[in-house]
Amino acid sequence: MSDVDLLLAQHEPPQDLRALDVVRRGIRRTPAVKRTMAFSAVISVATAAGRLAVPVLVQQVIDRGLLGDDGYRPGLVLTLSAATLALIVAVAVLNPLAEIAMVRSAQDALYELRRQAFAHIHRLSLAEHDRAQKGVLLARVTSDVETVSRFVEWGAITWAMNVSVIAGAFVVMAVYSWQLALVALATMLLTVPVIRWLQLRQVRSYDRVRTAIGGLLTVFHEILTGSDSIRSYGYEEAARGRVAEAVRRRYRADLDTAKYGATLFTVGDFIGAVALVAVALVAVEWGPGWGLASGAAVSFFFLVALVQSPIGEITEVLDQTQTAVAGWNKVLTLLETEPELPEVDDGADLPRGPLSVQTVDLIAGYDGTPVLHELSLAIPAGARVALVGETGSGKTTLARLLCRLMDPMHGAVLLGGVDLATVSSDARRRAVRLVPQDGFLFHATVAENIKYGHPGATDEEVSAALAALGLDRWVDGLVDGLHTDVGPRGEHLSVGERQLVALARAQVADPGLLVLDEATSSVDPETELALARALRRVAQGRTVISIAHRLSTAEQAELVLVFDRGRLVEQGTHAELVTRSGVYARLHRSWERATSST
Amino acid sequence: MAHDQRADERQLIRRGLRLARSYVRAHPVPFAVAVVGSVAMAVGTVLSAVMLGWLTDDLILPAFEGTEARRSRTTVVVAVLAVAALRSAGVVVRRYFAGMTVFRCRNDLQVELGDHYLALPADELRVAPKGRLLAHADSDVHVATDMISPLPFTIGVVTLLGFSVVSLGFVDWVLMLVALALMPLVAGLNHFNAEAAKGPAVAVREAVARVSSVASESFDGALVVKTLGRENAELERFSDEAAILRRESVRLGRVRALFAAALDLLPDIGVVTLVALGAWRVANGHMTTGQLVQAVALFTILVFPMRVIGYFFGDMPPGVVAYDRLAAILARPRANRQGRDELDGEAPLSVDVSDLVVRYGDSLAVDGVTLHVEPGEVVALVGPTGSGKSTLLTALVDMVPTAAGSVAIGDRPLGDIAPSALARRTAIAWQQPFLLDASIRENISFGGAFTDAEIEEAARHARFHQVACDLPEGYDTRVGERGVRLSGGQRQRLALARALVRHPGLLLLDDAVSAVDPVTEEQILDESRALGSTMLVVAHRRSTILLADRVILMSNGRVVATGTHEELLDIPAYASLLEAYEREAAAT
Repeated sequence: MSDVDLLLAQHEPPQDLRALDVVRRGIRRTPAVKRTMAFSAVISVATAAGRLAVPVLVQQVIDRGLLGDDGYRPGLVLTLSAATLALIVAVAVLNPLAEIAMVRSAQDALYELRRQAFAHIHRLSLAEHDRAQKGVLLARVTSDVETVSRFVEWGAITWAMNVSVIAGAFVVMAVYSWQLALVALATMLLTVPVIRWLQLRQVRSYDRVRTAIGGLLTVFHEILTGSDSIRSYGYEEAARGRVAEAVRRRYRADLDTAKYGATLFTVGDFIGAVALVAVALVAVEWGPGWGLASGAAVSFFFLVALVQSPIGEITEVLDQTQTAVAGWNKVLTLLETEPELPEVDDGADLPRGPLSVQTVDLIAGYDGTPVLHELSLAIPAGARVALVGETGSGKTTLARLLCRLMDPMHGAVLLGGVDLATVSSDARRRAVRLVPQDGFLFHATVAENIKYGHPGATDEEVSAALAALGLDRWVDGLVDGLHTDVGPRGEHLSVGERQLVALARAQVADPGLLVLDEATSSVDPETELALARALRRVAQGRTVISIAHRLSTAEQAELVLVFDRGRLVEQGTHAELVTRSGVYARLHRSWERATSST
Repeated sequence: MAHDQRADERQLIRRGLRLARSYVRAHPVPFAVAVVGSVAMAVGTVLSAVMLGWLTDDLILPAFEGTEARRSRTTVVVAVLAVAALRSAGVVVRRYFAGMTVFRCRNDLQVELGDHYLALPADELRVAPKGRLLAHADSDVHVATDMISPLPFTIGVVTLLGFSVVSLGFVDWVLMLVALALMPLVAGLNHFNAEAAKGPAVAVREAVARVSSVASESFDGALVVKTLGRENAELERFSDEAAILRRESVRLGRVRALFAAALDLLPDIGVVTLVALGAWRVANGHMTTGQLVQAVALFTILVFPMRVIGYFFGDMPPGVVAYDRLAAILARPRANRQGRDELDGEAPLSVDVSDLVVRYGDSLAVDGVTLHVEPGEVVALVGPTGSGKSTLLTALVDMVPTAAGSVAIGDRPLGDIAPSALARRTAIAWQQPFLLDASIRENISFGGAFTDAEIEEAARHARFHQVACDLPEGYDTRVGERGVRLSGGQRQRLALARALVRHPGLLLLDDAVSAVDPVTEEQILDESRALGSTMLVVAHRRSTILLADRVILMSNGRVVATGTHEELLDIPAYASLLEAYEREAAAT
C-alpha cells in the first residue's frame, strides 16, 4: 500500500501550528535560514518602497503640481516623475539581486536540512524503521522538504512583500492623516476574524478531501493489484460501482472545500471597499477641518486599494504556508527525536577471531512489551548454532540483539566477554555480520556489492572470497560475471542469488560472529546447492548462529537452541533433542508429516 | 531545433485549446456560470476604478476645493458598495463553478480510467507498473483537468481588458495609446519568462525524482546499511543528488527573480509616464483630476489580465502532456471476450487441453500441453519453478492469451463460454490472495449473492470461520490494507472461502494454501474435495500430492509424465523434486 501512502502524502492537510516556534527550531538546525530572512527583509522594504511610490506620486502631482497655489507646474511634475522613476528602477535592480541571494541561502538551508534528516533516519533503530511506514520516512527527506522549498520560492516572498506593503501603506496613510489611517485600519481589521473562521472550516474540509482521495486510491489500488481475482470471479460490475462511489465521495468533498476557498479570497476585497467608503465619508465630513489636502485624501483611495490586493495574496498563500510549516515541523520533529540506539564514543574493541556469546537474564522487547524473557545462554567461540522455534518465539529478536540492531531492556549481550552496548560501531561492524533473509542489494554491480562488506576491499579479495565459498563458477555464469548489474534492490537476481552475494559480502569482511537468517522462500535446486555449500564454508573459523527455517540446518548444528513464546525451552544437539518429548520433537514431527507422510 | 520546439509549443497550445473545448462541452452549465461570474468580476473591477473617479470628483473635491458635485453622496456610497458586492459575488461564483467544472471533468476521467483498468486484458495488467497506473488516476488526472480551471477567469479577464481599454479611451485617448503600447511589451515579457523558466523547472523536477529514488532505495536497505556500517557512504550518495537539486533550484530561482522584477517594473514605468502626461492633459483642460485618478486605476488593472492569460497558457502544456498519458492508457485495447455460451447446472466440469502453447515474450511458458481431466477428478500439478503450472491454470480461466492449441471446459471451447458463466462456474485461488478493503462478508461473497449461512459454511470448509468469529466485528470486520491485517495463512483461507462459497464446477488452486500448516491443509483439501468439484492443484507437499487421484509432472512448459504418485516415483526427476521440496519444507 506504500504506493497509495506515497501519493496520499502529497495531499497532506495543513495543521495548526505555532509557526514562530517552528521557525525558531528551524534556525537552530540550519542557521542559513537567518540569512534567508535578512534578504527577505531587504526585498520587502524595497518592494514596499516601490509600490508606495506611485500613490505618493499621484498625491504630490495633484496637490502640488496641479491644484497647488501656483496651478500647473510642469517642472515639478517632471522632477517628481523622474524621481519616482529612479526609485522604481533602483528597486527593480536591487530586488532580483536580493531575491537570488535569498533563494541561494534558502536552498543551502534546505540542502542541509535534507542531509541532516537523511543521516538521522539511518541512525534510527530497525524497530523505529518498522514502526514508521516506509513512505513516511521517505516523505521526510522529499515531499516534506519540498513543501518548505515551494514555500520559499513563492509563499515566503509573497508574505514578505505584502506584509511590508501593508505596513508601509499604513505608515504613509498615518503621515497624511492619522485619523483616516485609523478608520482604514479599524475597518480592514474586520477581515482577520472572518478569514480565520473560514480558514478553520477550510482546513477541516481538506481533511475530508484527503480521506476521500485515500479511499479512491485504495479502490484503484484494488482494481490494479486484484485484476486476476476480479476477472476470474466476474467482479467487474461491482468494482465499477466501488470506483463510482469513491469518485462521488471525492467530488462532494472537493466541492465542499471549493465553497470555502471561493469565499475566502473575496473577504479582503469586499471589506477593502467598505474601508474605502468609510475613509471617504470621514474625510469629507471632517477632513477639511483637520487641514487635510484633497490630494492626500485621494491618495488614501490608492493606499486602501494597495492594501486590498496584498490581503488577497496572503490569503492565497495561507494554505501553502500552513503546509510548509507542518512539513518543516515534521522534519524538525524527526531530527529532535533521539535515536533509540545511541553509539558510544571511544567504544571498546572486540577480540579478533571467533567470538563467544554470552547472555545473562536478558529481557528484550518492543515498545516496553518483552518478547524475550530472562534468557541466559553461553555459546563457545567457533560453535555452529541453530535457533529453532515458531514465528514469534523470539529467535529473530535474539538475532537482532546479537548485531545490536536493538538493545535489551535488561541484562547484556557479551561477545568475547565484552558488553556489546559498550563496543564501538567500527569494531562491531568488523566483528559481527548479519546476513538477512531477503538479501537486499544496492543498485550496483555484484563486485561492488561484495566490496561494500569491507571498505577498501580489492578485486582480488572479492575473487578470493568467492572462491573460498565455491561461488566462482556461479559468478562466471552471470551475464557480466562480477560486473553484472544487480538492478534496483538487487531485483535482477533471485532471492537465493542475493543471499549468495550477501554471504560473499560477509566472507570478505571476515567477521568473528556471523548471524544468518535463512531464506524461507523456495529457491531453485541449483542455487540451493550453491547456497548449502557456501553456508558450510562460510562457517569455517567463526561462530555462526543461524535462524533455522529448515530442519537440515538444525540437524547439522553443534548446538540447537529451541525457543517457545519468548523463552529458551530446550538446548542440545539434534540427536539429543529429537528423543525428548519436547517442543523440538513436536516441530520435528510436524515437519516429517509435511514431507514424508504416506 | 529552436524552430521545432516552437512548432511543438504551438501544437501543444492548439491541442490544449481543443482539450479545453472538450471539457467545456462535457460540462457546459457550471462552466457557463463560472464565465458569467468572471465577467461580473471584470465589469465590477472596471467599475470600481470608475468609482474612484466618482469618489474624487463627487465627494472629495467638492468638500475640499468647493467644486460642484454631479451626484449625491448617498448615490456614490451605494454605487461603490454595489460595485464591490458585484465584484465579490463574481469572484465567488467564478471560483466555485470553475472548481465544479474541474471536479466534474476529474470525475469523468477517473470513472473512465477505472472502467478501462477493469477492462484491460488480465495478462497486460499483471505485468503493468502498478505504482504508475495508480499515479495516473491521481496526479495525472489532477494536472490534466487543472488546466481548465483558469479558463473562466481568463475569459473574464479578456473582457476586463477590453472594458478597461475602452473606458480609458473614454477618459482620454492619449492615455489609451500609452496603455496599448505597453500591452505587447508585458505579453512578450510573460512569454519569455515562461520560456526561460521551462528548462530549469524540468531540471528541478528531475532532480527531485532522483533524490527521492536514492532515498527510497537507501531506506529500503536500512538493515543492510546498518549492518555494513554504510551510513556515511549512503549520506554521500544522497548529498550528491541533493546538491544537484540545490543547484537547479537556485538556477530556477534566478530566472524567476529577474523576470518578476522586470514584470513589476514595466507597468510602474507606464504609470509614471501616465501621471506626467496626465497632469499636462489636465492642466490643458482635456480631462478632470478625477479622470486622471480613474485612468491610473484602470491602468493598474490592465497589467493583471496579462498575467492571468500567461498562467492559462503556461498551465496548458503540462495539462496536455498529462492528458496524453491518460489518453495513451485509454487507447489500449480492451480485453475482447465475446463468448456467449452458458455453463449449465451444478455438476463438476471436465477439462480438455490440446496442444496448448502460451508465450511470454520470447519464451514459451506452456509448450504444447495436452491433457484431459474427468469431471470430479482431483489432479495435482507438480514441477519445478517456471515449469508452466501457474500459466496453465491461468489459461484454463481464459486469463492469458494462448498462442496455439485449444482449451475446453465442460466440453465447450473456452472462447465460446460467456465470461460471466466462466466466472460463475469456475474458481481459482492463488498463493498471494487478493483482499478488498471491505468486510469479510464482502470479501467472501465478492460480488455474488450468497446468504450468511452459505458464507459461513464456506468459511468453515476453508477453516476461516473461527478466525472471523475471533475478530472484533465478526464477519463485518473490515480487512484489507486499511482494515484489520490478517496473517498470510488467514488471507489464503479467506480467499479459499471465496472460491468454495461458489460451489464451482472447476476449482483451481495455485499453491493457494502454502502458508497454512500441513495438518490444516490436509483437512481443507479433504473438505474441498468432498464438495465434488473438479480440482487442479499446484502442489509442493507430499501430503497434498497424495490427496490427488492423479499427478501431472511438468517441466519447461511440457507435461513430462502423468500417473499416480506411486507410478511417478520411478521417474528420477519426480523423485528428486519431491526430495528438494522436503529439504525446503519449513521447520515450523
